Amino acid sequence: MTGYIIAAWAITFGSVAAYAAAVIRRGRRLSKVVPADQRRWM
Amino acid sequence: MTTTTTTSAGSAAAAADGPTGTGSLGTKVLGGLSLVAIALAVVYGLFISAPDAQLGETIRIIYMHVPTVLAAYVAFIITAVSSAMYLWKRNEFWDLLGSSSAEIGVLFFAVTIIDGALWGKVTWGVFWRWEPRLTTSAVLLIMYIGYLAVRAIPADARTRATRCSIVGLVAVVNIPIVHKAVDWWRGLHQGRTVLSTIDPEMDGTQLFAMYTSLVAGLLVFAWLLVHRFRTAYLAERAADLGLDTALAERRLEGSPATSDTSHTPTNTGAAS
Repeated sequence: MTGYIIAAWAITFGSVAAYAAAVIRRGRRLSKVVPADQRRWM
Repeated sequence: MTTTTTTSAGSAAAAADGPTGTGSLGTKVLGGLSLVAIALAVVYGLFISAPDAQLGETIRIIYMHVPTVLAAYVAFIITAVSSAMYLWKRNEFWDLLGSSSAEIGVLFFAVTIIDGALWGKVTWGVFWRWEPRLTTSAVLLIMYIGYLAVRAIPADARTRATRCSIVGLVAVVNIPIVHKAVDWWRGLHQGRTVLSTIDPEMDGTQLFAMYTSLVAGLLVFAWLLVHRFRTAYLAERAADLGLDTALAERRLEGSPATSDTSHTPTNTGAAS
């Protein structure tokens, strides 16, 4: 049972972390292309 | 070619002035709060909270299952509201917000189903049963994957946004069906947890673990949504920039002056 619990937590955090990393990486890549005046965040 | 070189140089110079990604002070605060909530959820969910009288140790899977489904529901509702707003206002903001939220919702809902399958294997002895809650959940997930598929169909921005808004409004109808499936039909899945009072007989540490997990899930969702929205916005601006560059190049190719001198050594040197 412990294996299933660890798997559930690992899958949850692992998939969210992987997705977050992909989004951040893509944002950084796009930031190099888009002029600064078009990416002023609040 | 000269235009491209100038644009690239200009973008590189401009990139040095602004933020280097999608982060800001707001996302840093949100991210910090998310990490604190996650740390509390891990400590209480895995180590401090007592096993449940009925669910035993499997309640620790529920600490992941319930927050992810709540975040997914919130995501899909945001998509529906954004879809309606887009059809009304025809504003890019609503289109990007809706699509960003849908993508995160699909991620969270897929994780919900996987966590539920793991819990089902321990409790029911099988990963999956075609019972009402699970079946309607599978349909919901497929509908939102369909939303993302519709978004990937090549079309101009306005057509794509209109199509997605319609799908976003149709798909959300399935949420109350999923939610009420345990009341309307007889199945294996336990009664409603999300959007209803959490079991009052839960132990204090269990309640704390559940609530911190819920807060962590919603904070992480909010943090992801801001970053995903900004990434989508940047992608649109980059696409506009690419279109502008292509148009400028096409105009240069078409202009008589450029055509006459296109093979001269001077022009080649400028382009390189």
